[in-house]
Amino acid sequence: MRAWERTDDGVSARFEDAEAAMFENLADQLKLLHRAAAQGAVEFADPAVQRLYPDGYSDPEEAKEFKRFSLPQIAESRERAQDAIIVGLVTADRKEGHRIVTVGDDEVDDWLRGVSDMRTVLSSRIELGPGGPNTDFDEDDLEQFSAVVDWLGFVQASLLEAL
Amino acid sequence: MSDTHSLADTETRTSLGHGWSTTVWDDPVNLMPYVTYVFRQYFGYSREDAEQLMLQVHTAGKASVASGDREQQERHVAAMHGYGLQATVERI
Repeated sequence: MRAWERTDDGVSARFEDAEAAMFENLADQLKLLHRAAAQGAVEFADPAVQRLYPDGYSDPEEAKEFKRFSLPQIAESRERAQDAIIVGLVTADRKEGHRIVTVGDDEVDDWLRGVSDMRTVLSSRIELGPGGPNTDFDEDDLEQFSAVVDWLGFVQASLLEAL
Repeated sequence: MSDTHSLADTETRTSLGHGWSTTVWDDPVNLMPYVTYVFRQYFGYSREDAEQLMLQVHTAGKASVASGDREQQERHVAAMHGYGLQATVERI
């Protein structure tokens, strides 16, 4: 991709088709994960889920209570952030082999949060190493995740620069 | 910025009768400019104050970013989680 640039009412960036497809795929996965979390249908022993939905209190009882009340709303908001990314990628201006994505000022926050979540989940998978809960990830997969985490870092950092 | 957003010491905060704070913890994933952005965007900190708090999180492992009543801190912590940050409600 090329770094984000300011427009009249937001920012815009060029993504190669392969990048956009990967980005969209990640957003789809995170969307499903947040929706599952909202419904209590995730494995909370999963370190990636623990990172996304950490304890809000040091005391386990208070943390449980806090999570019960706060999680559904947080999850829903994060699912919407992923939706914003998906919509932005899907409705982008398609060119030869790439697309121009525009994000309005009022959507930037969603994109930043959404990318943060993607980096959190991928980083967690990398940390676990091969043969983690998702045993179909091998060393090559994890190396690729690492490159994606870096790429997402660039997406996020350059977006912040462009604000 | 108003008192609730100042970096006032613990004594001042406690003497105001508010016994709770929001602590943000360091994490190995989030970028420093992103953490700074969250502090500015959500709490309304100036760039300087937000960066100072972010650096405190980064070097000391945590920083207290707000204080007041318990319900308010729970809202703040929930918001921090929504931004992908690790945060807890703490008794001052």
